[in-house]
Amino acid sequence: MIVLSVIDPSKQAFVVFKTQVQYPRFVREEVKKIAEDVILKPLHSRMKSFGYSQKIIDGTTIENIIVNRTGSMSFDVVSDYDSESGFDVAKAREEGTDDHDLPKVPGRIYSWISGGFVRAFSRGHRVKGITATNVVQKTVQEKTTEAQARLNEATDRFIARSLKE
Amino acid sequence: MAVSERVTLSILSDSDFNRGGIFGGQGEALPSSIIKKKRKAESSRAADSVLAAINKAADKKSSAAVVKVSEFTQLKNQVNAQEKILSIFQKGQGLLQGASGLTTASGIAGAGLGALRIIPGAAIAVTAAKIAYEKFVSQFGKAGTRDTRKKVLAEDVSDIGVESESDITSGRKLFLSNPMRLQGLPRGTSNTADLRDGTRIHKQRKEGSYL
Repeated sequence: MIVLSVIDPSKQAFVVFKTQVQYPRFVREEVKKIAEDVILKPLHSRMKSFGYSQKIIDGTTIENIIVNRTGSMSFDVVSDYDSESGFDVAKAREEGTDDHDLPKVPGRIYSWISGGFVRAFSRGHRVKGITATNVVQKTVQEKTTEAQARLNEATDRFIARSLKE
Repeated sequence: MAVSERVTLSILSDSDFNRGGIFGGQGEALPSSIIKKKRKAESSRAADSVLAAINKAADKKSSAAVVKVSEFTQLKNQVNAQEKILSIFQKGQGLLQGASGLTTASGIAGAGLGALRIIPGAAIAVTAAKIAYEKFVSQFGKAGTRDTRKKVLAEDVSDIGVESESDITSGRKLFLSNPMRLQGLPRGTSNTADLRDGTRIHKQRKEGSYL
């Protein structure tokens, strides 16, 4: 419980006003730190354990932090990586794909390591679908409550600090 | 289009500041309590139980600190099962238990491949071919079933050419204990050895035998 022991009402009004003005900026900075600690770091390590390419991991960030004065704020966890041909690799890993044909690209050949030691080539072939991981969705669902708890504690500390000044 | 998940959190609103709910006298709530009340009104009780579990987990003495395997972990294990099996094949483990019958199609296919339905056929064929090749080559090596070194040695010893054989039997080429005798150099051997060598030479030239 925070109690303003200051008797002077004008000082009390000033403290409240100052805190109210500083609050949105505090929320923006604090949420950025909390989102990276609580959501982004576990998400990156889970992506690594799923065998995601480092390019997809590097392309997963926190964006669009919006603070409202009506009592809510939001941000987006975005995972974005496209191949050279424009194929959305991050979305394919997240949502999965069906069995499909790799298209023939004029002047280019597909190349990969088969069986761990043989380099294989092809102009286009059928590949099996990728299992959906939904790692971004599940991690966000799991970690949102913890992020809220951390923000609540940070808010308490911020208000207490404001009162001491 | 990128993958995007929106996260919405509750914070203090202007009305919370203005009506003095935070900075009032005794009996007023902490800012976090106000936020929690607001969030409780918006979300289900499941979120509160998760929050309580997180708080308890932070306390290592609590029994709730034992973390259960989440649905995420189960999915991760399921997805990684295919990669694990493929890596075992690549290392050659679990594929072969012996060399017998390896080079036959039934030998390769029957070598404990319960996961055949999961692994792509190309990977199996390539890995099996590599191991079969190594086993086949090792058969020609030392003590292998197809070791031909002894045969070569025997042939070299047994067949030195017709001309050489006729030279030896006629006495033109001599196998003596002391080769210095043939070259006309001081032999440095005993009289007994000379007698032996002389007898051998005579018998070879006259009778066509070493003995």
